[in-house]
Amino acid sequence: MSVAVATENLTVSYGSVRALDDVSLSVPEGTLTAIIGPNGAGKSTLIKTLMRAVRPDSGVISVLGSTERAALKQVAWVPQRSEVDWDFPVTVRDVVRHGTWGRLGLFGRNRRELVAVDTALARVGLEELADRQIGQLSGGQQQRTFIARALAQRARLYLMDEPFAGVDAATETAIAGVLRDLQREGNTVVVVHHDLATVRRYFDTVVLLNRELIACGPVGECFNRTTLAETYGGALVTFDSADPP
Amino acid sequence: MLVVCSVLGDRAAEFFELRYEFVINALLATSAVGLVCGVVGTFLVLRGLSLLGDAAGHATLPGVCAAFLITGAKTLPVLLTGALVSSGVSALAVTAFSRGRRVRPDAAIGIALTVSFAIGVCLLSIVQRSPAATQSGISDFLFGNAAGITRRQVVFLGATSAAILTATLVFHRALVLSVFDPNHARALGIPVRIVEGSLVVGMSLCVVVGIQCVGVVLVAAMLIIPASTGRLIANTVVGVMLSAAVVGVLSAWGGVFVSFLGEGLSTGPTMVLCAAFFFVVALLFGPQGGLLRRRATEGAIT
Repeated sequence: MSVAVATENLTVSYGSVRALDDVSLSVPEGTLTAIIGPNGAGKSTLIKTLMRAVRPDSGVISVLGSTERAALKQVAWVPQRSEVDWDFPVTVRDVVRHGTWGRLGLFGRNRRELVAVDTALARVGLEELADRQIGQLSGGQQQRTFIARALAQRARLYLMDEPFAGVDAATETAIAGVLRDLQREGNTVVVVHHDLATVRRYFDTVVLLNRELIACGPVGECFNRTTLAETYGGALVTFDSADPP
Repeated sequence: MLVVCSVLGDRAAEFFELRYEFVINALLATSAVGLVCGVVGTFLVLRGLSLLGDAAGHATLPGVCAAFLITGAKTLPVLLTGALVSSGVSALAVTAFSRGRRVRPDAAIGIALTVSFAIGVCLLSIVQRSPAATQSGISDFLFGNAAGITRRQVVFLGATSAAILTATLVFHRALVLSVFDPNHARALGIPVRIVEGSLVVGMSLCVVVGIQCVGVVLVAAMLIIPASTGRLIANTVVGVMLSAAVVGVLSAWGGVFVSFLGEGLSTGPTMVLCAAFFFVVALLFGPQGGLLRRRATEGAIT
């Protein structure tokens, strides 16, 4: 199986604070992967470094088998909700259209791409709200807007920073369905995730991170009490029925 | 118009008959300024860089004075080249410092603005000591003098504005993507730094175009106020740009009219006050976030 995301000895700091320390991991293509770890573990930093929004101190990154920046055209990005300027004067449809830039370019208007935008809106159930300014949406609708943008981009790798944060149960199920569909279509999805109780239900691969890499691999092998204790320190965490053994 | 004339008298009638060439020149020049500053200002305001325009405006003063002192010439191309260089340098310096985390962007802007204006004021005192300075018109740059604008200046202003507008329209999608979500834009292959740098250069050109009408101290107002007004009117970037352009042009006309009525009033302040009037109206009644409307719809958003 080919590799969607790989890092070798990746180290990233903000000033004197080390966010990621010597992380070497690889995520196979076609997986649905959760990045798990406590606050400040470097989860978002890892994704942003993959997006080349953060410059690493050292280490090698490869995305879809390439270390070139151009490979990112095949990567769709869903930012954390707190990082978006929700007062920006764009509608839901505008944001989704941004996903088609790669095929439209400067002047872009093209019927097929407009269809792609409508399809993406329909897949997340936002057709009716397409002309709303993005600040006039609920949290779940905002999250779905950016997922629709990612869909319209028709990428091979989807990097999402906490797409399940602050959404209600119905939206969560809907988003999980979209992620599974993306995987079924042969894409790779990598998600920063906070809810340990749903890891087994939604994901097949897991990256456990706490500045250093704790574990990386199939959920069945890597997601257990030992690795979690190592990731979160001794002070752990309540489990529900989806408990790891 | 008849009503306006009968209320304000012959002076207003003279204005609307466009009897004087200087009035026509002033209207054309300020329209160009209002239009182009509204359009470019939209992106500055959305990017959270409103005050960068203010820094760039103040930073033209040392450039104008230095250009005069070095060449001894008071021709417009020389003075404006000086203005462009010094405002561009200060704006790019701000963007460069504030990329590090130690200096916050607002502080960087404050430093650049005050330091360059301090240099400008010092140079201006030296300029005013020289005998050629009295009629050099350099102090016109402080508050703008639309009434003194010649036909040649109008042509220059029009051509520069047309170039800035064309570039903005051609690249507006790239600008929107870069300002809205730089990480996404970068991944799509848009050279975000170059786009942002071009925005800063475009802003400096607007400032240079604007200082002749509005003056270095107030030119930023024409970048900030119409664009902020546009945001209260429209909900898409194109809508904001168009509204800002219209508000910019109307403010320009209003400013020229008021300054024509009150002889001796500089056009800069009157244009800014007209823009402020439109801003307050939009703030109260604007369809997007007008205060009165917001009260009515509060709670309607789920």
